[in-house]
Amino acid sequence: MSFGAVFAGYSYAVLSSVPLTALGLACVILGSTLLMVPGSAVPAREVRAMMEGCLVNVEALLEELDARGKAVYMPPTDGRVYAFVPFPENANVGELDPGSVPRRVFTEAGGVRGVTIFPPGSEVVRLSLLPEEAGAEDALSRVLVDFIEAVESVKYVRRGAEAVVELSRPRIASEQPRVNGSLGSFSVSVAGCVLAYVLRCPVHFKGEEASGGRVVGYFEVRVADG
Amino acid sequence: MDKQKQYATALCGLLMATVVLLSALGEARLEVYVSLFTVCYFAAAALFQPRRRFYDVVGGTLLLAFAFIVAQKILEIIV
Repeated sequence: MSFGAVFAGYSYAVLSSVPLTALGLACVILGSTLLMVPGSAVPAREVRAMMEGCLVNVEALLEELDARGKAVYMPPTDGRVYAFVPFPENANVGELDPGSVPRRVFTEAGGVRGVTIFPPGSEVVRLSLLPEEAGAEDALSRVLVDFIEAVESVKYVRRGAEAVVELSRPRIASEQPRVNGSLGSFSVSVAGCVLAYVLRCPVHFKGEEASGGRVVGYFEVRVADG
Repeated sequence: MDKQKQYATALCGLLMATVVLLSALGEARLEVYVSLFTVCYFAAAALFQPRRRFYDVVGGTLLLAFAFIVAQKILEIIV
């Protein structure tokens, strides 16, 4: 920036060259822009440390309560998405009415006992101020790519009740086996929260696959009959 | 490459392309360069939506310069 200012001044006053003056001005603009824009929009290490800290608590809770089932992300009733994690590993969660699921730690939904938790993605979705009418892929991209910059890009495919989310180059990886098994890795868990938020219906996490810098999350959208 | 770096690279490319193209065309009016810098700056900002540490001072300054140039041209036509 300083070089640009000196160069522009010198070119204008001494050399009387407009293109060189313009080149100096371009350097000033570029330099001051780089000063204002942080090198990394989201400080990855700090965010990862906070997320890990948050997930350790969830991991401890799931381990203590021996909850092993796949989470069902519930649409928000007061602005926050929450997750119902059944105790049994292969629980067959029946029909769900999000409004009727009691919001307490130990609860029962769809005829299965489980635990209610607020995953980190719940607050992420709330704070990203998603518009109510946002489409699923747009919302996923806005939260995961633009807001927390957790992944490079997002693809979303819906086949009937099955929803598939493909995340490329996830930057935050959680190393909590229970959390990863029940809620999905951090990025997939946030994707589950986003889907529950925009689709306004329970979203059942079915599993995820990671390969070559890509993570594919599988969900079942539980649309209420009638 | 993350979004911030893409933004910086795109802005650098646009500004340099503007200087090279206009000088190749023999443009000798500084206000034309500044006007196009303003357009490039806001186009890149709209496309990449970068995060900033504080208020967009560069954008504000460029906008003021652009407004001044336009006002000057209008005055030239009127007077």
